[in-house]
Amino acid sequence: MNTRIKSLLVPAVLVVVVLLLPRLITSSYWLNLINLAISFSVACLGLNIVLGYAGQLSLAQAAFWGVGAYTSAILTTQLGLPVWTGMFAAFFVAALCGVLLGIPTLKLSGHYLAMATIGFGIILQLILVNEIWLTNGSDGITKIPSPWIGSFELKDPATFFYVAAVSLILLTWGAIRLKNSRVGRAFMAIRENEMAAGATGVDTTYYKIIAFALSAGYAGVGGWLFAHGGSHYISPDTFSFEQSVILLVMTVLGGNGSAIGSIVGGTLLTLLPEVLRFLKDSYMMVYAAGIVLIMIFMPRGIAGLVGNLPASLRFRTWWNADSTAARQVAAASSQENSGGSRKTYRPEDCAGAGEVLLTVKGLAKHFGGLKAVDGVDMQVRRGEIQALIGPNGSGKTTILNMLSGLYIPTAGEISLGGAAIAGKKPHAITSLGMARTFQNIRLFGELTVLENVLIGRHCHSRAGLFASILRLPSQKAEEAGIRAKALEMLEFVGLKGKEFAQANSLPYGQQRLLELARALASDPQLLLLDEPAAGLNAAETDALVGLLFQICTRGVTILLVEHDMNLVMNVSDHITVLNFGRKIAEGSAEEIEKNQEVIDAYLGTEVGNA
Amino acid sequence: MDLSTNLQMLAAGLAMGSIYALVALGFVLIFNAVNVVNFAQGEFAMVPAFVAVWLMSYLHLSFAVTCVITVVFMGIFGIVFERIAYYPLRHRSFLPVIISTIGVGIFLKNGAQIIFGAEPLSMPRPTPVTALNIFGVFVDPQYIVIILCTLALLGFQYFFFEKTMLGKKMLATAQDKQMARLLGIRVATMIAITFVYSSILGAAAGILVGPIFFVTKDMGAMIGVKAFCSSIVGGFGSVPGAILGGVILGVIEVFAAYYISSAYRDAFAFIILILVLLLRPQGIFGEKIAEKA
Repeated sequence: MNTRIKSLLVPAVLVVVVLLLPRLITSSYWLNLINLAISFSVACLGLNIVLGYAGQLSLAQAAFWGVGAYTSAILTTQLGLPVWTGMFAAFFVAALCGVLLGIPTLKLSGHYLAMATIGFGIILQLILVNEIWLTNGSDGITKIPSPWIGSFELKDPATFFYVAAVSLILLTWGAIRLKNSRVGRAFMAIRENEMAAGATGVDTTYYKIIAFALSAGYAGVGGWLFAHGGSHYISPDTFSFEQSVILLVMTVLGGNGSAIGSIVGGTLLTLLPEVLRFLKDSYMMVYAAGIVLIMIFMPRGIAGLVGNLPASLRFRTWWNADSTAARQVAAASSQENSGGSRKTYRPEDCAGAGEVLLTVKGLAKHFGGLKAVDGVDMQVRRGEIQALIGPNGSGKTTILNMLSGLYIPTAGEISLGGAAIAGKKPHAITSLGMARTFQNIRLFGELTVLENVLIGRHCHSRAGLFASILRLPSQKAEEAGIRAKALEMLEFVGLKGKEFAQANSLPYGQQRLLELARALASDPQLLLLDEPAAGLNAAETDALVGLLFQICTRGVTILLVEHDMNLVMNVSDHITVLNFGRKIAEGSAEEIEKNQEVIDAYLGTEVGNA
Repeated sequence: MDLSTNLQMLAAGLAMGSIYALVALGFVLIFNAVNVVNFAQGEFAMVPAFVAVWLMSYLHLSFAVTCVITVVFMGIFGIVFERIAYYPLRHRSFLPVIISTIGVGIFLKNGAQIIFGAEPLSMPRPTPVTALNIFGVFVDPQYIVIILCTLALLGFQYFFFEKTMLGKKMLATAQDKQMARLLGIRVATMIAITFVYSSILGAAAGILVGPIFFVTKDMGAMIGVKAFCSSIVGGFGSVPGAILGGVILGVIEVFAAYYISSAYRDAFAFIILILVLLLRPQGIFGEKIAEKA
């Protein structure tokens, strides 16, 4: 089946379903219920963006839902604005609340946002009840108008269903497109490994705030649907903490990270209480027990269960078979390795006294009383491979962490190609041309190999939220460019053919290579490698040595921390030796091997005699 | 505004602050032991309050017997809670555990409503109703009891962690589970004991606060989130921080409710939380600790 028919299939099915549903279900009770389910589903879609994509827990989704409902209700009843204007206001006011709440809390991780959102919900309740002039207090707002199209009022549930369904479809479409875009990948990188995301060039705080604001905006639109459909009446107690938890259960049940799952969860749990009326007061208890059971027994929700069925796997393969990405990967892998005839590199090829690329002056990092790094000066010249060696605890990794922005130095200066970078955030340093790998590999484990490397290209691409959702031509071209670069890097490290494997599923040695490919994708001037040979066998280490020389001939300067002395002596143009946070020696491999202080502190006599 | 009213409010603030401090300590101990924020911590104070009301009002037991039974009950409760909400998820990331503690919290809240009804209950007071006159300042004796009991518990806790082997083992577990296990410490048991102790702190908070407010299913949620705010204000993960944060928050809340707005009484804790997060996110005693790369 060709792509064109495939791309028309889904819209065609949706149009038929939307047009037929009000004909099939004529009871306005059930239609109202479906409209309510859609309102919940929209809020769940939003929660899925912040929780499922970006991995941040918000417990105020019902509060944002309420912000949307109240914003539109107040604007339309008190100021007489058109209902459609209310929809945009609902989105933007809720999103603005998200930004304001996100700025103080999202710099920090995890629990802070969750707790602050509970607080936001409580404060909102207080405002809704106490500011009677604005919200009419506990009595709520009545007679909220219906939307109009021309002179036609969309009042009865069947006609309002069309509004709700179209909103749901558009917002779902947006959420799904977002997932496979630069912005969506940045969200998922944060979810998978926040530290690696930062070091790969993703401004984690910014993207967390974007995800949170967008999720609040979705909830706002959900609230708008709730206010202007159904009973045309809202009151504060609807937008409670319990409701936020129900939205959370819907999203998690549907499948954390799956947009369609959110809709399934939202619909199921809206309709389920109708069936479970016999539970009466205890339905909230059943929900609560459900949430614990889902967490323990089906962490990936319904989407996870369905996703593992053979039929579903086949469907997905068929569906993705000739997507743009798949075709590009296929085209790349069918190419012969024309230019890739492996030339043998010798250390001389990449030596050469280049200009100074990295200068470190008086660098220090103290943890309380412990002086992990205590006044280190060093230089790295362009085109060289420089090694940083020393006993465990001598401060090597701490220096790398300061260079890459994970630690803020206690004192000292770092300049990369003339730009002062000490104390800058990791993503800013990455976009200035420094990339790194980690001692204990930090991949985006649940994402594919290709996606990992695509994220490495983040700082060289620009597509924002709206370009990502609308897939503008510029965004498509950019995506193709990113993919081409990513495929080139995968081929370079020797992971061709693994593009769609999950990063977690790779063997250890290949995970190291993938991390290298991800770092190289950002076109760094300086590449920091933290123990790249740790855990590799002899053959893999040999391959790594070859790769290091090749990276060097691509014009990338390397600073590496490593304990494998054969490797260090073999590849390094220049070696800096640390002990107890201070530099004790530097020079060429030969000089270092003969340096008595280094032998005493680190190398020991065997290597000295060798 | 005269001095004696201010002093009365100070006493009330210190008493409320003590309650927050007790629950905040429960948060911090569990967080230090298993790196998880227990979102049902407030329920650890709500459940014993209901249990105590039931024992005193329906079984007509004396206050002392009620205290003993409630503490024992909460000890068992702590183990059951750990087995359900934490243990099955111990190898997963923090998010599923948080969500599961939220689930258990809601379950408890609605369970309490079904068992005890939606009407607020009042707990019989162990202390006289008439205010004590301390140098012209009238103070509810229950406030004095709260403050003294909290001080006694803190003293016990200091002794326990500093002077006993079990306390040391628990501290070791909190520091480094793998190393503790290698030294022959039963890590799972230590974690279970942490949950038990944390819920006993909740029992103390619930029994102490019960006579001042009505006992309702929602009392725990409010105490819980404010206690969490306290622990952040003090510096998350810090034991003295949790205590000081609780006291500061309790006092500010009482004064702000009087001088600024009583309708927004419950909002002040969060406003302070946001201010602290903006100005000094590591809190009073917290140190900025970066994750190890």
